[in-house]
Amino acid sequence: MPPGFCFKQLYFATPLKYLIRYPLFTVYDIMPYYQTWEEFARAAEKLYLTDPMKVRVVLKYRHCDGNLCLKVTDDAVCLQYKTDQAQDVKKIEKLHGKLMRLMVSKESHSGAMETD
Amino acid sequence: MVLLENDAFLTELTRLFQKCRTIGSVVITLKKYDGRTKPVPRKGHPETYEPADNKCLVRASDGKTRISTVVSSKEVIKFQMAYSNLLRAHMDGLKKKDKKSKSKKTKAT
Repeated sequence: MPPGFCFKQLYFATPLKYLIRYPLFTVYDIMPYYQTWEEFARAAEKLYLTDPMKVRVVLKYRHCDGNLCLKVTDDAVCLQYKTDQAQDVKKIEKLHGKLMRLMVSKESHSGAMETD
Repeated sequence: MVLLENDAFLTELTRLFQKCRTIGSVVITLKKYDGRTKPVPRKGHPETYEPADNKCLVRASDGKTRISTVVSSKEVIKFQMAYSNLLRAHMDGLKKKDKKSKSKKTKAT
């Protein structure tokens, strides 16, 4: 991260040389949040299967604010889902488990997905 | 970044969740890992590492402390069960179903 760069800060304030070197961050500012869990889960699995080595899954939990934010990205496409509902915890934890098992399984045939 | 064994990682993760109950956030990252311990060689240099296909990297942070662990296919079942239980137990600060609580509130008032 370049010194003094902060997501919350308007990125116009960031010196242009850093925006050029790190164009990745401007992409995050305009990536939308999914409205439904089903769409997000489907898109996330699809993204993972296109390139397993590139995709990472990030989960951020804030107990003080009572919200949960999930991000699945391959550094080009970024899928995000935000929630403050307790019923989503189980769904999120299931998706985590599914992706973990996919990552750890020997992918002898691409596009193979475990059915729930 | 502290690399731990699976059990130690889960213990530390519990501690992170407990520490961040009043303020702060817990960030967990999950990524497929091919077992590399050396950097990728430059173009033109021979790639001498055989990538393993059955590992994943789990990282956790509260902004200050960072911990990580490697899960392989042999440990995934046990780890995943413990990990799910941990998440479900600690991510309990979210709102319950609104409709039911609203109707209960109207009945009470």
